[in-house]
Amino acid sequence: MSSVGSVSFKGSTSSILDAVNPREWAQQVNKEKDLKSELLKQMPNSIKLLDKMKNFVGEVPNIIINAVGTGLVAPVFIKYNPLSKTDEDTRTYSAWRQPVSAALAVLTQAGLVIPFNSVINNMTNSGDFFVNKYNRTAYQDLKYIEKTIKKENPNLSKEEISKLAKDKQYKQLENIIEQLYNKDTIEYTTKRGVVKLSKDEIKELMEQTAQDMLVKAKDNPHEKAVIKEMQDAIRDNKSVKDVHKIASNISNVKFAYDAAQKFISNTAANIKGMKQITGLAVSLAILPVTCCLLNYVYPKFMKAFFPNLSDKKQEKPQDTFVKNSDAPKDDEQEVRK
Amino acid sequence: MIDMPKIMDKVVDYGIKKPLNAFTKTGFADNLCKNYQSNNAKYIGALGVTSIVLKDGLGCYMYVNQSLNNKSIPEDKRKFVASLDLTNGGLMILAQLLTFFTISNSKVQSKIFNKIFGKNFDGAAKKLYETAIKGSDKFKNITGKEFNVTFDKFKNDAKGFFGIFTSLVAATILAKRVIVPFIATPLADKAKKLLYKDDNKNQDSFTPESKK
Repeated sequence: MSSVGSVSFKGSTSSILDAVNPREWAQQVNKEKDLKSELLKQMPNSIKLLDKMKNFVGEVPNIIINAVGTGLVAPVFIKYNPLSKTDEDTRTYSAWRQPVSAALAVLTQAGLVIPFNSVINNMTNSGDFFVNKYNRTAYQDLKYIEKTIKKENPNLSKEEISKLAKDKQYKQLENIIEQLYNKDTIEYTTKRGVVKLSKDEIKELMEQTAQDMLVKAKDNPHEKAVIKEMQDAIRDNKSVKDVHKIASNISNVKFAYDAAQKFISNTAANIKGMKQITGLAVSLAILPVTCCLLNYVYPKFMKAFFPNLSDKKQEKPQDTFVKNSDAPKDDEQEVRK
Repeated sequence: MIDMPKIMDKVVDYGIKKPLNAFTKTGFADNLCKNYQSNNAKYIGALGVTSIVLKDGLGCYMYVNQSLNNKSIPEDKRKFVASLDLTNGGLMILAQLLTFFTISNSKVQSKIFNKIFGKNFDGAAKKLYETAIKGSDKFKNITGKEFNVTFDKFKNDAKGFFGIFTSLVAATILAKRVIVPFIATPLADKAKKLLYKDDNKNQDSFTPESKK
């Protein structure tokens, strides 16, 4: 799950637009986090276990789990398959293809897929994309911020870095809201200079935010009427502040917050879509490499570790040239051998 | 002396950055953004399916082809290895499509989650947790609204991790590594016979003598 996509400030920072105070605001967000921790303590063990599972989410655990499945689980179901009539030697020989394949998959994925994704992450966080909607310099990934802080301050402890990074991320988020609310734009820096969202871009963002609110409103007539009024105001080119005021008629709704969230989640969605295609392209590009590698390494590995299985069995002359009608007997001959 | 960092920078620049930037300027990339932003399930699903079929389909073709022509694999095992590649690849595509539309589908996951953990998140449970939490000094001043927002977020997070975990176990371990090899191995026996049949057809015109 992308940390950019899930901003955890909604609903807990009701005072931000009245009295903007980053420290106070950060404390509000922390309060929500504390509440979540307390809630987890009250939950049964099954939910606690589920919460621990989040440590298994990510690229590296995925590669490892996939490799363990290929290398350790699949061979068992090939070698000890009670339904197969092929002789055990051949099945054993074929089963060993799986761990070799898993080891090569780990090598190629670790060597290419992970660095590739790392380059994409660096590009989005440092603003290296020509098309700005892929740059997340306005609200950077927490891990990227931690990395840059560590680079600049190598003597800081892990906890200090983590705290500074969170503070910086809060500040970025606050900047987005403030700019949206007071200046009707979002301004951020990329490697090619300062980017300022145009009036049309802000209008589109506001339309998307209102549309999302409409979906959430379901059949509430009051909320629907307010959102309709908001949509009319957006069409009439009203400011974020004006639409925010109209939206305040729905309890617990802060339009500027929602618009900021929409901006962040849109960027995350753009990156996710791009990663889906680039992931496919990289996989297709390395396929011939892994395929050739497997075909080169696998027989050599088998010859080195299982010379008995790698020797071709002695065949009788009639085994080599059988007629069509004899074909089904091949298996029986193999089993006899 | 070779300046490795400089060479690597060039490799990253020309191998990744420039192609990526070129891609993001295309109409297809624009369309991709629009559909991902609006979370268009049909579009994202179709893309996922295409991705699976392309990757595994091409992989299956290449592995079968290379195994069949790999003279380093003993002749008596070569066809079985290739047959297993073929059945494994085909079933892998089927299994992934099946899990994609069932266990990995967010609606199905939501139903399973509610069935297993639903009672921990229903109205009665929520009330109990709220009372317990408000009983502590630290959270005694928390409002009902604040609690509800956090509780819903907590539930969504738990649901999210449950989805990732079930997909991982069901699709990656159970379907791809247990069920597929279990079915693919006996199917490979049959595929091997088909491969032999093709060979025999070709060999009908030869006799052992003529081959010598």
